[in-house]
Amino acid sequence: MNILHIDGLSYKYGSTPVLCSITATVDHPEVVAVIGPNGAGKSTLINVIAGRLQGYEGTCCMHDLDIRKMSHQQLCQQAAHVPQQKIDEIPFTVEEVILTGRTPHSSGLYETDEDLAVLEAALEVTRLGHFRKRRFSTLSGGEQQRVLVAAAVAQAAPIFLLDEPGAHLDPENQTELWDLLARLRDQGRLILIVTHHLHLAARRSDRVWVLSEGRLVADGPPSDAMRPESLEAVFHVPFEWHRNEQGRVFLNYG
Amino acid sequence: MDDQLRKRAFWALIIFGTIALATIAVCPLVGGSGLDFGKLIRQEQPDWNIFLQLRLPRALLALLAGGALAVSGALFQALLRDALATPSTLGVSAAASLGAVIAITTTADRETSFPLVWLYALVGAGAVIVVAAKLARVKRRFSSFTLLLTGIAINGICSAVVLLLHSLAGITKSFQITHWLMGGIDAVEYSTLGLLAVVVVPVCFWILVRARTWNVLSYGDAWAAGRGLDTGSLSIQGFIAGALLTGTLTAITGPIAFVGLIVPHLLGRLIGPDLRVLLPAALFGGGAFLVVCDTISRSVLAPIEIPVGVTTALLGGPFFVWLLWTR
Repeated sequence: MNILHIDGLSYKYGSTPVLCSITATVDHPEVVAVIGPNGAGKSTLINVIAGRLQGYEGTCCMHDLDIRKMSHQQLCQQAAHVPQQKIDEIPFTVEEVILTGRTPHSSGLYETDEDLAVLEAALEVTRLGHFRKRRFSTLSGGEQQRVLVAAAVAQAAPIFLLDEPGAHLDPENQTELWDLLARLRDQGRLILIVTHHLHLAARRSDRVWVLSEGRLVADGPPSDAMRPESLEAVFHVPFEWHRNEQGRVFLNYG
Repeated sequence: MDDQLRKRAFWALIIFGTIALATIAVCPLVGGSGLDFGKLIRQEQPDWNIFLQLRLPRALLALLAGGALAVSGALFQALLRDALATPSTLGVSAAASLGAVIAITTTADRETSFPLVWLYALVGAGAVIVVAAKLARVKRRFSSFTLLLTGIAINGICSAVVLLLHSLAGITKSFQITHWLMGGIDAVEYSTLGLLAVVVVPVCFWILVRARTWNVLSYGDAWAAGRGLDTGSLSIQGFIAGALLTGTLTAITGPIAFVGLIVPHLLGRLIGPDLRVLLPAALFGGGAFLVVCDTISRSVLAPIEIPVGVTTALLGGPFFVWLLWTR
């Protein structure tokens, strides 16, 4: 069974085509980096999959079920979306933010015991236990990002849709984020992550989708999808792969 | 943690409910010409009648009005993600006022009856919600910023038309409009109170039991939609509930400023932002607040009564500035 299957997905903002017939299939848990220049349609793709945009052509199926046939709540049980927009100035604590992830599962006025158990597990895997009572707005950008990912973990969805979560993170927080994604993948989750950090996508992802002008121009493992000549054609700057003495591979550009 | 939350919500309900009951018990007995307790206990005239027909219904009206204003204020602040949002900010109060003023000016009677003013005020409040909903459909997304800007425009238009009607009205109607616009708690018939309760109590209950949903909506559309909520429809439902409360109250009391702003903010600082605790506290805290304000209004310059709108504005205005200062 496919975890995610996208077939001929097209989307237009007004008369401007943003996504042109994108087809891709994921049949096992992996970290998929979605890369491409600004305006290539990365966020639009994520938003369509997350059920945020209607009026697209083609289909998107999760576990062989068309998302058009799901209620919004069912879709959110399948896919946890961490949007690009910053959530600032909310007065809630870390725990309370993470518990919002339980909304698709329990609709009562208060959280259930299961919700609270899931909260503990989410705090555990994201290593945020010591922050739990802190106010969200007092955390640094990197810590806030981890809390939002923790809320997505609490949502207990098999698919993660992360839209540029690392945009404002320093190298340490970046690395921690990708470590966390690897742990989540090992727990059996599919992660789609939109990112401009090409070097990290090259080193840490299992698979890369390269978008250019709304088209999926490359789909495969980084060594394959991120060849210098194809990246140069998309990003219009020179790229090179570099191997150091220890045999680690780096992607350089600019 | 959840048990704590339940406990906090329970205690908020108990404590603020008790405070509200206490104000209802005490406030009708104080101020103005003092009541003779001996006569009250023996149910002798005129004190018993003053208590039963004037003071008590007045306190009950203040309780209902204050509670509903505070609840709709807290709800709008969550829906619009704006600390300064209230039904007034969105233009709902202004439109309800305009509706009511139209009702007052166009009827031939000397005294305009409550159901008619109510109807017009509801139409006014409803019209704003329709405009807002249309705007949301055209713009595809429900942007709180657009709504607040629309609110400023609606406020401007409505007060201009109110002024126009005012200048055209004859002297009797003009006095009636002025009196109504001042915003006041007057002694009303128990039947009116009953009608008010039939609207306010179920709507407040409807809002309170959805507190967890409003919490998540207050994170913003993008986040809330990702948590499985139908943000557009829920926001509109919330706005309609708020407009229903505001329109109904405005029809009876006239515009009463700042209760929807002060009460949720003070209580929020005291007991935290979770609406499951804050809303019940605001319901009873807001009621108690307005009962006290009304008692002040009719006591400080007795036998002259200050409109309660003046008291809340004089308390709320400086608070508003202080809020901007410390934000």
